[in-house]
Amino acid sequence: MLSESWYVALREIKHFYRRRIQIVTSLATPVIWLALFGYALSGGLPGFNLSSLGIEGIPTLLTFFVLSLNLELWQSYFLLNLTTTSYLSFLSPGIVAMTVMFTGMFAGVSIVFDKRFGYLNKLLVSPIPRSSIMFGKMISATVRAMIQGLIVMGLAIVLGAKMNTGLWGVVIAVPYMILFTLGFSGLSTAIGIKMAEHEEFFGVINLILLPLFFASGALVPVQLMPGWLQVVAYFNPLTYAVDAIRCAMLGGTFGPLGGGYALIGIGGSLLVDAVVLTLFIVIMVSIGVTIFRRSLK
Amino acid sequence: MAIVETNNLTKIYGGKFTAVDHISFQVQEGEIFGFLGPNGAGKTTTVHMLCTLTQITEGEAKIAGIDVKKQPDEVRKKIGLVPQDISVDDELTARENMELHGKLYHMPKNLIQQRIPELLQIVELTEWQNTLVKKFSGGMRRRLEIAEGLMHHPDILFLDEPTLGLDPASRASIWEYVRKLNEEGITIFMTTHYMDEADKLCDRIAIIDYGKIVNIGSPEELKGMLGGDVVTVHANDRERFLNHIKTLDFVTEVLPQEDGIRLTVDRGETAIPKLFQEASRIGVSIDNISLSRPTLDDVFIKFTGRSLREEKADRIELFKRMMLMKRRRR
Repeated sequence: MLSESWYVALREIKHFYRRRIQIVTSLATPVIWLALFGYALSGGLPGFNLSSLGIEGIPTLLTFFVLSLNLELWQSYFLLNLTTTSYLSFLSPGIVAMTVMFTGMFAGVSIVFDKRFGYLNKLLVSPIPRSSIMFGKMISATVRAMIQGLIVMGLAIVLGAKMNTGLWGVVIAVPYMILFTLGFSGLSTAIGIKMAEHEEFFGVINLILLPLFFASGALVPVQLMPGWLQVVAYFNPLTYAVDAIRCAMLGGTFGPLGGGYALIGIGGSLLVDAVVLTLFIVIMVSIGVTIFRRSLK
Repeated sequence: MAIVETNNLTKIYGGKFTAVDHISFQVQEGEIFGFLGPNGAGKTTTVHMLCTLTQITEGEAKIAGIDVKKQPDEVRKKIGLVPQDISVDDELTARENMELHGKLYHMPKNLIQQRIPELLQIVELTEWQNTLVKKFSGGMRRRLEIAEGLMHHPDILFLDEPTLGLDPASRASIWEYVRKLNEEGITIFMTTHYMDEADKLCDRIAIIDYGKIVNIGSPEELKGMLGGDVVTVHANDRERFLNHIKTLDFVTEVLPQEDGIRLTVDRGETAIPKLFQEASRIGVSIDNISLSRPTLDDVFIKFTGRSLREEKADRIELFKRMMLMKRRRR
């Protein structure tokens, strides 16, 4: 089963390698988010964050100021975090997660094309388990997503995003990125097998992607969202992926569990993220395999 | 021994459209068996059912004694398929395509490396083995596809319209490969809507129309059923001449066509002068007369009342049928 999946994946990895120029074009969207949105809000709009007002260097004064606001404990934490972290640093993990999610979510398009150009039949006539086709697509999407995600992470750092944790951050982030991509690419291939035309496929995928992106912690801390949106965000797997990558890169979290900008609290947050994402992949892959088996009888 | 055996094999799409209608036939080991019929007759659907790609609605099929419905994975190991729409991967090289195929069939590495040069040699693609397939011509792709279908040493090779859309030279070379393979002992099951192809290549032919097998036999047997040569006559008073020749004893069969009259006679050479005599006797003049040895097209006309060639007549009906099948196949 695994070896067959790998053969199916290897074909697409070869395609990807031959069209490696695509990596450059596929990086356009994340780079625009980082450079325009991230940069603009990090320094361009004074008042958005306190660090741009020059308070960064006086933590004691700042602490008094925040405490004087009489906020809930997490809100105080949050404001303190914001003062020491630029928006670009906050945004970057979100954009890394977005890149990974998009790549995973478009995994199914290759199934649509394989169907159209008859290659799917070739795979189906061969004595391989039907689900190894799906797993093969998932593996190749994950390889792509990792390459692209790590490049975006690197670009973010070049642009000035903080990487407080150094190489450890990457080591922690990658497993989460893999889990996340596997979940989405499982869903995507299942959708792909149901669609006859790639236009339909892109329509459905875009319908899913944009709401997921905006209703997550990628752009704005979940705690700052209106109540109903927070509820949506808590059911959104992207929120947990973003949180995990943010924990990994910044060594702190603004994520679902709140928590401070300190190493204390990360462990719990990462654990929740791992549980939620594992649950996500299990559900998505079971749905995917069921749909796949049914339509390929 | 029968390598393919079907019994009332039927495919009904969506509960109402019958693409293949209770067909039963056998393919013997070592023969070239052809499915001849117009587009939309159910040829590809039959092949897809035998190759485990389409679910069988009713009836049964066995390949090398293995039930297609019950043990599809075992059947898959025994068969090779060269599909109608060429599906070799454009963005891999010829060699990579074949390597991947071998891996999917669980072939050991050294066997893969041994088979590839052998097969590429047969289809004369050795010097192109490291070229990306997207640079290949249609004929080269088809040849690669055949070589790929043979990688895992199948007991039977299914060729679905193997020369569709190819130029005459490429067609001839494909025919040559098919013969060569057959001589090496591989059973071939092919579909085609070209009569000459079926006639030249196949040991036995099943004529299929609207999902039903009309007749099965060797090309000679089928043509023999016509009982003689075919004469086509165009006369100025068609109706009167038609009624008259129906009474003549040397004419075995009369088939009125759109413009002329097609008749079957024992011996064409002697029938033509007689026809002229009869025409002048009843005062009808013959504008045009032609004699031909029977072709499979004549056989097709005899059994279906239509020509394989004249598909124009019910093109719209055919188009609807094809669209329906395409949609259902997804």
